[in-house]
Amino acid sequence: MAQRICVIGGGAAGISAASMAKRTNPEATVVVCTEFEDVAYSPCGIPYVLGREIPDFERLFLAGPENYEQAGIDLRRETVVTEIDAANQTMTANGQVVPWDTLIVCSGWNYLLPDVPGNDLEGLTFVKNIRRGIELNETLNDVKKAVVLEAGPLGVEMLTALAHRGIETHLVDENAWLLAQVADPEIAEPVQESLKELGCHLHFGTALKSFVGSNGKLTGVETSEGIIDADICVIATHKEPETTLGRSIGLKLGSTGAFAVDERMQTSMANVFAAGDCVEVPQNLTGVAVQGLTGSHAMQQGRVAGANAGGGRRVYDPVNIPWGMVGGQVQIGGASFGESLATSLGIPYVVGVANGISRARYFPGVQQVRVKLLAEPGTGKLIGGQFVGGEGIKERADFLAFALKRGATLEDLAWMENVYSPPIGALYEPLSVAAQNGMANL
Amino acid sequence: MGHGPEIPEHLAEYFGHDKVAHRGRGGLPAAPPAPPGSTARKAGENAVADGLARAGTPGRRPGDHPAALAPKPALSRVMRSGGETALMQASQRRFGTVTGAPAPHGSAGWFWRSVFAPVYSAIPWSIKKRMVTMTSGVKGWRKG
Repeated sequence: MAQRICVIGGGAAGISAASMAKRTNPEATVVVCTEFEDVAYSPCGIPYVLGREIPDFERLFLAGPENYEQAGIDLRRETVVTEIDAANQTMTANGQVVPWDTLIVCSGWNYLLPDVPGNDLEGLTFVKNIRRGIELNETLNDVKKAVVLEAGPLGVEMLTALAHRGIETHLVDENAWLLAQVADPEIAEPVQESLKELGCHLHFGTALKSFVGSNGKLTGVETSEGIIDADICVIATHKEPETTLGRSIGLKLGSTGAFAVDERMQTSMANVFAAGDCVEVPQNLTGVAVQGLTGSHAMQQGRVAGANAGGGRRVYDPVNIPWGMVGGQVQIGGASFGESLATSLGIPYVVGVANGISRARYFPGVQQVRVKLLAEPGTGKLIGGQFVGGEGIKERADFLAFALKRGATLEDLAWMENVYSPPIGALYEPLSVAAQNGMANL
Repeated sequence: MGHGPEIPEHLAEYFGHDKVAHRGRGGLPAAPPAPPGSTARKAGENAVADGLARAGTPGRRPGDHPAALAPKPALSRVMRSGGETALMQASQRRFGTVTGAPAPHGSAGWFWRSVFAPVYSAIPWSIKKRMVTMTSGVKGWRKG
């Protein structure tokens, strides 16, 4: 009898897991259950449609459900899995019992709901699902004032989007600066100034006290610094792993509250795999469990889980977490540790900093690029870095993550080869200059 | 494009020549929607038609409230979360002075802020690393 593989969740991890499972074992029956209406679109593009940088939502769709049917995948949309029976290897989806030999749990995440009064008011806004994003886009026409709660990546994107819409936008964040979980203050500063130039009001070191409303609708956000009038509040809090179903069958959780998996993405239970934002994986340099990464991490984890569920043998590598984004009109990014994060953990480090340029200095459009690298004292082995500037940030973050994966040192980067072509790169690569400066501090 | 006087002089050089950095100079136009008749086009049009029809109407739908209160955490998560918050806030207080950032709003709790963070900071990294790996590490993975 053909292997029966069931996938719970139709996001980046679930869809890639199903596709890879079917590719690995073409004879297998692969069923995907998602509670939502759509699959195969880019949720990461939603803030940019809301901000009118992308003209419509249609462009975010990459494929239709028919594509998965053609690939032999039984895709069941608007299908809610309510129960898993691990002993009998079945699950209940929309009331129907579905048997499985191998299960892949890709149940994703939810925003952490602030446990304060008024958290059930209409006007609390969540950017996650595309159809709800389409509805939100219509209602934004009537919004005059908005609050964004927390300056994580989505919060920064939504600040930019709402400001582009001409909405008076306030950020409320307990931290001292933007993206404080990963970025250092002087790296975040140009982004903050850019957001201010767009008209955003940034309230750092400020705690949420309650949501204020009348007749069930939000009218303001009470903070430690006073009340901010608001028609909506975009909740951009931590990505809390959705583990309800997995916990019900006893899947083991790790220190982040997400499913503990091994390097094959297998959970604590035989024949049950998991991937995406509901699992935790090790950070490469410390082995510390991390969770709630990016869509590209979810997709790769799904591919590994799917291959192994289909009988293959794939492993997922510990992560160095390259990140990058645009806030206002400035690009910011990095990989692994910044100075603030390394200090909080107590990791010893030396720093190498450089202010360079993105093109030849005489070429139109040349922009500043600031680089900050961290390395182990003595050995010079890289432990992380950050970048901010007008262009070329994502590529440097990707490069740095690969260098970290390969155990590169400051000396390696100080003597690296680099592209010199006036329209796209300067003679002196800022990364290399930062490494040279860092070597002086070893 | 010029920028307003509110941008500090030492940061002006980071600002692009366009209002949005990723539009950049010489950028290609964004991809058009998928071709008419394609599955992606059909899926997109269906979603937009449905979303527009429902906009402003009452009723629950999938994904309209993707938020949850934190579940009752296990001891290991309480320990990690409390320690992390206190250590991050201590670090922010130290580095925030570089740019004149405000102090983070202290929500770590007295024990974590006043006992755990100072004690942890006094421990050598080699011991801390073992502590961190033991309490917050993963099992069943090869070393990176």
